Parts: sequence; structure tokens; C-alpha cells
Amino acid sequence: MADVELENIKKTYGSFDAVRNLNLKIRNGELLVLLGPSGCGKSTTMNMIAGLTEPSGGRILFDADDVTTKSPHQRNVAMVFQNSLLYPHLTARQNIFMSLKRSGLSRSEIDARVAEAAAIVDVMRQLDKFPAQLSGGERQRVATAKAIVRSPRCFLLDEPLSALDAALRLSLRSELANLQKRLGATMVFVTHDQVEAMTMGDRIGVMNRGELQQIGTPLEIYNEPATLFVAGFVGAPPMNFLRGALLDEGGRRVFVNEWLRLPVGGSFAASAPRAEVILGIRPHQARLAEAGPGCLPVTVYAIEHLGNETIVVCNGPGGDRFRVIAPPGFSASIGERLDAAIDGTKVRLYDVHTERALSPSE
Amino acid sequence: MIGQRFSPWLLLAIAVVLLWTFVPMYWTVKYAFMTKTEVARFPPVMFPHAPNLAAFYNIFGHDYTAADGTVYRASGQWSQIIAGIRNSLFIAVIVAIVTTLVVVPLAYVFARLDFPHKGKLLAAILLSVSLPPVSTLIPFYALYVQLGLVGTRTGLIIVTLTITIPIITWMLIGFFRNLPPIEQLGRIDGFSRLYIFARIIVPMARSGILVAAVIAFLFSWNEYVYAQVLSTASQAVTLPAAMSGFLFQVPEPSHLAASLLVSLLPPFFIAYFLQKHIAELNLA
Repeated sequence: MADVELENIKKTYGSFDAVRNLNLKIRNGELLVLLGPSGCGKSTTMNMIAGLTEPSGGRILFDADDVTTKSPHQRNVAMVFQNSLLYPHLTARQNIFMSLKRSGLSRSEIDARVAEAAAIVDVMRQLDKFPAQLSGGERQRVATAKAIVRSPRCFLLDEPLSALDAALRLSLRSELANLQKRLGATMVFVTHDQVEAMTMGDRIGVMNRGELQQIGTPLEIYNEPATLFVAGFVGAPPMNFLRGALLDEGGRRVFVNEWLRLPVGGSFAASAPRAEVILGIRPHQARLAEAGPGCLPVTVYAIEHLGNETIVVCNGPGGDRFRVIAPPGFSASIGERLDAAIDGTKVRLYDVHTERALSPSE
Repeated sequence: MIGQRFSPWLLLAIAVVLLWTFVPMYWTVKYAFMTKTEVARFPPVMFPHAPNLAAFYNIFGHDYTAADGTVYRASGQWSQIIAGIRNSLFIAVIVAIVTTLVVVPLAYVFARLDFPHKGKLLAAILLSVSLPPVSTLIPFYALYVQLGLVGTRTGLIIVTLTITIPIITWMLIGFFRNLPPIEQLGRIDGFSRLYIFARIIVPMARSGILVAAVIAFLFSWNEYVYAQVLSTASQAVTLPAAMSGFLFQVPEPSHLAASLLVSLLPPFFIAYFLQKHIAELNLA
């Protein structure tokens, strides 16, 4: 296992910047999730770490070893592809064997390692089946065995669970995270599913339009999203946004727009005032209340009962959707006028132009 | 539901299509088992009174004595038919092999790799698919007269390859595009491009390659236009060209029909044994 470091990595296709100036360090034994919508550059980044795609600029280091120009096999990485890609014309055993065919190990040693890898992921009984005869979960396990059999310096997983049904995805997700910790493996996991990212990652790197937006632990990403994109992408139901101005009133910061006057506390209590800001508030940090200061007038659009809580989807006064969490069993009729109270100490503030979070102090 | 699905109009439509398809075929099959006088009778005979195999004996050079003692003489063109079968088989097998050897790597490269001017080269292939073979007939003839290739099997093989290679390349490009990104898996495992192609892609694409070979075979087996012009009355005559003699030189409807049935046998058996693979290729 190795530390993996990306220094100023770029990838351009013609005039299209797939990845822009990416700096990233993946620590030995860490599970780093690259999260982002399709086309954000996360798979390109992974392919560059693997050595399948040559970067247009920058360096890739495994420990102190510069592997930028080395082939995937020389880097000794293992990769699990989308849909747990396997050689369809070979049995599970032969598929795992192919990982070591070019390793120079003796046949008996390879056989021993194949058996060992198969035992770790519990696919001993499926070894003589062809991929088409395996279930989705079994394919995933065989692909994992194929990866671990070579004792790679780094595991790379490219949306391995995306084609599976929800229940299976849930169980394989924890299985993979457990395996990663048991092996102490350095692992990069690419996904567009923010729940997968939050549940599996030691750290998450959120990417959009070829740029790394933020990297941090799942809680940092959730609680302190650094950009408007991260704030909107991570978290379900998504964060609500309001436009307004940030004013200074006797040393206190107040968010003001047509419908709302909200004193801002918490991390933005000392941010520089400005005419245009975007305020973000998670649905869990707003509640329905009696009309009063710090309350936003909303009308009910839809009610979503989740059992343990209720998502009240409202139309804000500006026409944007505004979601509020209510206790289970909450009921209201569509079109009903309500007031949403916002906790001014839990809000996030973003610059309209840079779309980055305001700095906590002037 | 069932009543709706089998409405009288639908049944009528099915009946029309079936008649449309099968009556001409039946007409030909019927001829093969009839005597020349029966064929010439008017109004036409729907069912042969005494079906016989005379035509099949005759086209292979044997006399046939009917139950009533009439003797049907061997066809004067029987040696052409025998030579035609031999030449057609030989040419079709060579064309199938060469086409496959050329087309599989070619289509793979177009489907899976990027290289300069790929779009233009693809357009060139499509252009040669869209050219009607007749349009190159005269140029080929003129060229072959000078090169001494008229009436040779080599000449026919070359000319048939100019048709099969572009069409089958075009077919296989789609097939290769639909394969999963298995090359990346192979590169992670440390295999060379050549190894990945020869030992991973080719075995994976077995069905497609087999079907490509069969289609090349059938193209060549059925090819008539070039064969008629370049091989008729030569050592290299092919079966379709030889058969056409029964139509043009001395009209012999029952001999023509019998040789047609013989010429249908190889495609019939091939289609029968390969239906599984053809379905797998999913040309849609």
C-alpha cells in the first residue's frame, strides 16, 4: 500500500478541460471517495491514477516514486470497473488468475493466492462459473477478488455498485468498506451517489467541471460545504438557497431580503458585509413556526412522509423550492400558507460571484 | 385480447404476405420435379402429376429413365455446373477467410482506437459500401483484360473482396463498439495491445467473427453480376453464372430450378447451424 499524491494534474481533450490543476493527497490506508456528477472529471482523475490516461500536465507520486509515465501494471494498481467488468469468456477463477499472469510468480504460488483472495471475499464456490452465470453481487465479489489478489499499492473503484439494485448496493457498500479497513488498503472510490460517498469515505473529494471543489471528512463536507456546488450536491433533501444582502447592524451581521430579516450567528458572525450573498440552510435546520422575525413565508407544494420525519416541500416567496423537515405525521393541505423559522447560527453564506463560502472574518 | 390480435384483416395480411413469399418459391421448386412438357403446358399445372428427379440427374451429367420408359438426356452443360459448384465453393471459402482476416482487425481499430483522419477513412468505407457493384463492373473488366485476370478465380476473389470487406467492416464496427471496455482491464493486468486483441477480444467476439465469415461466404456464393461478366464460359465459371446458361442459352426451366435448389443447400445448412450466433450478434 502506498500514499498517492497528485501534483498539479491536468487533462485536456482539445479545448475541453476535463481536469484542471488538481492537487490531492491520498494517505496510506485511506478510503478516499471522489464524488461528483457525470462529466465532472472524477473518472478521468481515477484513470490518470491508474495509468490508463496520460495526464496533460503534472505529476503522480506513489510514496516518493514518480509514476507519471509508468504503465498501469508497473504502478501495480488494481481497478474494479463499472458493472464489475470481468473477462466474459473466462471463468471466475481464470479472471482472478489473469491479474497475476504477468506477475512472474510460479503457477503454484498463483493458485494459492487466487484461493486466498477468493476466500477473503467468499466466492470459493463460484470459481468455476462464467461471469454471465454469476449474480450481480457475486460478480462484484469476484471483481474484488481479482483486485486484491495482486496485493496492489492502490485500489481504484469506478462506480462498481452503480448497476446493482438498491438493497444489494446497501449490503455491498458496507462489505467493501469493511474489507478496505481489514486489508488496510489505500482505496479511491469514484461515485456520483452522495449517500455512497458519505457512508463509505474516510474523506470525500467533491468534483465539478474538472475542479476539486472541496476535500474533507464526510462531516466537514456536510456541515461546512466550501462552495455553492458542494452545498447543493451533498445532503438529502438538498440545501435551500435564498438570495439577499448581508448588512452590518451595530457590529452584528444581518441577512436581509424582501421577505426575511435574519441575524446571522455562528461561523459567519464576522464576515464582511456585501450587497449580494446567497444564504444556504439545510431543511433539517429550518422548522415550521408561528410567523415572527427570522421567519420566511412559504406555501405548501408537496408533503413527503418518510416515517421518521416528514419533508414539507414548499414554494418560497421568490418562487424557489424551500424544504423544511417536520415531525412524523405532520399534515397540511397543498397551497396552505406557513412560516419557516431559520436558525441563523446554522446558515451558510456564499459569494454570488465566486460561489465560495464567505470567509469567517473580515 | 386474442380476438383483437387475430382480427380478420390481420389474418388476411398474413395470408397475402405468405402467398407473396412462398408462391414464387413453390413455383421454382415445382419445376425442378417436372418434365419439360409439363412445364410448358397451359393452363399451368399446380401440382406435378408424377414428380421425378430427372432434372437432378441431368444437370450432373446422367440420363434418367422414367417409369414409362421415356429417357431424359443428360444436360449438355453438366460440366459447367460441376465446375461452377467447385469454383463457387473454392472462391467463397477463400473470400470468407481473407475477408475475416482483414475485417476483424480493421473493424476493431475503427471501433476502439482513435487515430488521425479516422472520420474521413470511415466515410471512405461507407462510400465503398454505397457504390452499386455494377458501377465498377466495366472498369474492372477493362483492368482485368489488361492484367489477364478475366476468367480466373483469382480475379473473381479480388473483385468479391472489394464488396465484402467494406460492408462487413461496417457491420463489425458496431459489434466491436458494443463490447465493454475490456482493454482497460487488460492493461491493468499488464497485457500488451496485441495480446489483448488476439487473446481477449477475438475470443470474446467469436460469434461476431463467425457471422462475419459466413456473410462473406454467402456474399461470394451468391455473387452473380461480376461472375457473369468475368467468368462465364471460362475455367473459373461460378455456379450462378453456370446456372444462368439454363435461362439464356438453351432454356431448360426444370434444370434451372434443380440447380437453383442445389445452390440453396449450403446457405440453408449454414443458416441452420449458425442461428444461435446470428441472434447473439444482434445486428439491429
